[in-house]
Amino acid sequence: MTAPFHPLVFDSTLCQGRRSCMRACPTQAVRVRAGHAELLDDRCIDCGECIRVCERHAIRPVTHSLDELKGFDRTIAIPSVALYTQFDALPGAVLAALRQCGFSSVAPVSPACDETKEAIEFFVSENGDRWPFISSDCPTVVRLVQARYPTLIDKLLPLLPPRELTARRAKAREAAETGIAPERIGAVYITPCPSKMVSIVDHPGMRRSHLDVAVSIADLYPQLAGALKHHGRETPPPAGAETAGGLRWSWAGGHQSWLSAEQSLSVAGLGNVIRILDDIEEGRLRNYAFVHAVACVEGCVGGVLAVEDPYVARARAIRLTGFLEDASLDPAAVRKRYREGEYHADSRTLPNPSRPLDDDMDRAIVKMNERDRLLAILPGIDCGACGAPTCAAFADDVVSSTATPLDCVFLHWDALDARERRAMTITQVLPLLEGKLMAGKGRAGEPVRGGYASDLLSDVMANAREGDLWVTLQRHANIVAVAAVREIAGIVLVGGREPEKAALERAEEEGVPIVVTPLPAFEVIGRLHAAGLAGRRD
Amino acid sequence: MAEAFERTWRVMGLDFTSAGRASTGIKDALKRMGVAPSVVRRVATASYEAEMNVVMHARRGDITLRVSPEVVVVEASDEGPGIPDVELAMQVGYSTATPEMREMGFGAGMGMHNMKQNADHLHIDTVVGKGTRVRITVGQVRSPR
Repeated sequence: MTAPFHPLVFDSTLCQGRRSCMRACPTQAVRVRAGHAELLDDRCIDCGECIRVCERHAIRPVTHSLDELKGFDRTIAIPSVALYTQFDALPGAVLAALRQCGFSSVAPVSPACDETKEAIEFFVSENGDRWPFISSDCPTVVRLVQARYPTLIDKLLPLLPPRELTARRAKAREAAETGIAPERIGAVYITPCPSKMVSIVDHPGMRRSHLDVAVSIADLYPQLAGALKHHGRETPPPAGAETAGGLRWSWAGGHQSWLSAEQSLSVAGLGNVIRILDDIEEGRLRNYAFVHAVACVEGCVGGVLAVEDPYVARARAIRLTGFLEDASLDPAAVRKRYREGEYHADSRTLPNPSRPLDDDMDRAIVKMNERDRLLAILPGIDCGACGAPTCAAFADDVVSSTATPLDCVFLHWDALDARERRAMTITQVLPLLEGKLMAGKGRAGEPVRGGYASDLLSDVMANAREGDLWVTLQRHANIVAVAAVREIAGIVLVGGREPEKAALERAEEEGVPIVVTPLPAFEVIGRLHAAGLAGRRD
Repeated sequence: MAEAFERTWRVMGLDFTSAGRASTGIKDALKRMGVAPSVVRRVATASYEAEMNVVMHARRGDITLRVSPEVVVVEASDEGPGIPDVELAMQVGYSTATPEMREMGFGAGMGMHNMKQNADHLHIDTVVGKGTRVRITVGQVRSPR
């Protein structure tokens, strides 16, 4: 999996670790560690549910600011059809208001929506042996398929989303009319959600998006509302602008009127989308030609960056379809353009699967078994106190060494068998002791099984056991010899004492990890014991 | 020999609300272990058909998944009516689904066929009046890297 861009930022200065984002995340991509929420990059698919639920506003959506427009000679605003549902005004008035926000021109997406609908019908009827196809206009759904359903990648509709088609056409037209080079013309999407940023920064299926900038509806809202107040709300849309068919893309199920009822299916909300994708992956729903899937429960009108209540917005959208004309399309012309490849995506969408428990399959099987054993002794109530959303996610974290069993408040040390106790390693001890590893890096991943504290070498020789962590203030080379003979897992030097040079050299040679901690011995032992290391083994 | 993974799901007859859970669980487990996507899909399809046969025809059954780095085996064993004529049951279009099941979209007579299509090896043990054990084997498990 390549390092992904995510259009959201977790602000740890605002986060209080309340875990609402962790519980809301449909792909279990949030953990709370050391009191703050963190994002697991390879699991996040940019749906933005976490942004919605955070009471502290500690998760910020990332979109472009209007300053980005300065980088272009001319700018074309391409509003999401969801924009029109945000105001009690006609689309023509919203378009006029948009022009006053500093864009050189405005390109409505409805014509592309109407033609794409036809193109989808051509495509699915030509490929009847590969049903059902899955819509690809919601970037979060595309990401979900790439990450969790790589086997369904060829079912993603290989056609351009209407916003991309609109951008490509508008730029070409603007360039032809003004003589300005296309790369000096910026196509700006007015977006209801941050996930569209992903399709601009890193569009799967296209080498480069035809859009250059995404500005949030919420950011533009005050300016647009002001302009509407000033210039009125009743301006009818200019010819060739928004249509009833275009507006139908704005709410979940609006597409339902497409194709015949038996052939298309509309699903919204990631939990529901996941269920339907499971069905498709298990070989069902083959009698449907097309599954339109969107991440937000209410569709784009309910995007994270929309301002209006999604149900009010949807009611407006439905009312607007009554005001607006239906498209007057020439199917023959669309079919001709379809044949010429006008609607097809420029390149294929590739899978980007979430990582398995281990890249090596033998080890992944071992970890899967460990996971199941651990899961069997976890309480199964998904309380979230450990910082993982479910007991199952926590078990994943433990076998992947990003959590230790004792992070579970219910799991008593005694309940763990030797295998699970071995989950703690020197590497995990370091942050606990605020320590640094001075030597023996190669063995820092090996298990620590218990602890022993003493500053008398012969006492250690007599009583320390294999796999113990040895806490001491001695810093000379002989401690390494003792540790090596007793097969000790590592030495912890307390009170900030650094090992002598000879000790360091010897430790590197013998592969004995040495940790230096600023903490005094009493504190060190207390913390290790609280984290689950015992001084006694039965 | 390398370690193998094994997990069993209990499936109850006529429990259509939970039907499919075992297959979804199997798929999830296979993905976690890094099994090749094409294998995941074939196993999921075959195990879903096996699971639905248990739900539709048997009192109850167990679906067991076994994974090694060489092979995936799904075994569905049930306490059910058994299959009187396996050869007939394998024929496309042959179905014993009730009208109620047909109303839910089952009974195309493709179930056994789908199992056979997606498995490298399909083994059926059945005793009329006692039950059926279906073993689906798919090889070439490792993801090409």
